Parts: sequence; structure tokens; C-alpha cells
Amino acid sequence: MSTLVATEFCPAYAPFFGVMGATSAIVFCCFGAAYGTAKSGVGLTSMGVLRPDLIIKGIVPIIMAGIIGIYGLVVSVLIGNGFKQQMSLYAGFIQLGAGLSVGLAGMAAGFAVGIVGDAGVRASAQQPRLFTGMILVLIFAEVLALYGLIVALILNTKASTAEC
Amino acid sequence: MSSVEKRTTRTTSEQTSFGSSSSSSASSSSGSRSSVNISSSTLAKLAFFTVAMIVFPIATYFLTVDQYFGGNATYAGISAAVMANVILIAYVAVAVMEDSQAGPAPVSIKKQQ
Repeated sequence: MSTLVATEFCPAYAPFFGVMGATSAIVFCCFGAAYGTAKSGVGLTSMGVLRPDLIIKGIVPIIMAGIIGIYGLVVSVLIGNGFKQQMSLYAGFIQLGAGLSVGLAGMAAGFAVGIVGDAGVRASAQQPRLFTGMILVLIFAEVLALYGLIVALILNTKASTAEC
Repeated sequence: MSSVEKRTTRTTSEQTSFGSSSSSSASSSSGSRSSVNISSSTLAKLAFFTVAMIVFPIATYFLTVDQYFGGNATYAGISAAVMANVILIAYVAVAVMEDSQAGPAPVSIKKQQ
């Protein structure tokens, strides 16, 4: 039975920041993924009325929005692996920063994917050569969430070196 | 040339009006009804990609974190992100291949309108 002692560098409220980081990673990424899915889905259903053969191609923006949600999930799992009851405030702050970085970057990327996916599927039904252009713009929008994921991963490796 | 422009603008206005109007007015004005039969191969592809999107990235993380990367969670997270993008690339490839097989069928319908 080890006794837990709260020191100045490892207070009792340190896990709060870590848990908030894990929560904000998945919550904000899901905001972005939901907006991306909804807006692209509206465009897809409008386009699919006249061109049902293009529906399978038009699901690509929705899959990209789903990947943004997966980024948030991966970072939440990563941060959750580092929880301890007696952890340093430094590790808690780093985990909060990691979660916020991927979460807000994912929300931004989800907004971009939604707007571009909506306009892109509607336009590529009329001009098939726009499909490649839409994919390129969607990739650039998705890479924003990837940047947030990279920053979160780099930050999270620092949290493991904290000692209490 | 002006008739072509009128036709494309009419299709554009029809398609933009779909964003606000209900679906019943859209189906009555389209003039062509597609059958409700969805080919089983399309459904199988969609089901596979749905399950793959849900399962593969997080399974990659948990499978590789201990076996391949010796507990280093960062590399396992990177491999999960890579796996998610691999599934996306596979879906785009399958969609483009299916589209090139089907061919531009409903272009004639647009020209009738």
C-alpha cells in the first residue's frame, strides 16, 4: 500500500489537465469531423439525385472527415496511456496542450473538408475533370489535422519523461 | 452556343435549388427514375470500407505498440495515422476504378433536359 503524497510539482489536481487534454482531443476532432460529414453529405445527396453513378466517388470527402475523427481518437488513446494518479503538473499541462492542438486543428480541418467537399462533389458532377482538383484541395485541408497530430505526438513524448 | 449555355445554366439552377427544396419536387422534375436495386458488390465494398475505417487504425495502434515498437506509443500512433490514410487511398482507388468501368451513362439524360 503506497501512500500518495502531494508535492508542489505533483499536486493532486494534476490529472485534471491531462484528462481535459484527452477529452478535448476527441471532442473537438469530432466537431470537425461532424461538420465535414454533414456538409459533404448535403452536397452528396443533392448531387446524387441527378447523378447516382457518382455517389461512390462522392463519399471521398466523408471518408476524409472520418479520418480527422480517427486522429482525435488516436491522440486520446495516446494521452490516456500516460495517466497516473500521482503525476506531475508538467505532464498534465503537456497532455492538455497535446489534446488541444490536435482537437482544434482537427476542427479547422473538418470545416475545410466540409465546405470543399460540398462544393466539390456538386461541381464534379457537372465537370468530371474537377474530381482530381477536389481531391487535391481535400488533401491540403486534411493535412492541417495531420500537423496537429504531429505536434500532439511530439508533445506527448515529452510528458513521459516527467518524474514525480 | 447559347442553347448549350441555357442547358447548362438550367441544370445548374436545378442542382442548386436542390439545396433548399424538398426531395419530392426534385424527383418529379428529374424525369428519370433509377431502380432501387443496389448491386451486392457495391454494398460489400461499402461494408468492407466502413468496418475497415472503424477497426484498422485503432487495431494497428494496439497491435504495434507492444510488439513492434516496444512500448513507444508515438510510433504506434504514427502507424495508426498511416493506416487510416492507406484506407483512404484504397477507397479512392476503388471508387475511380469502379467509375471508369461504369462509363458516362447519364450524360444523355442531361442532354434530354
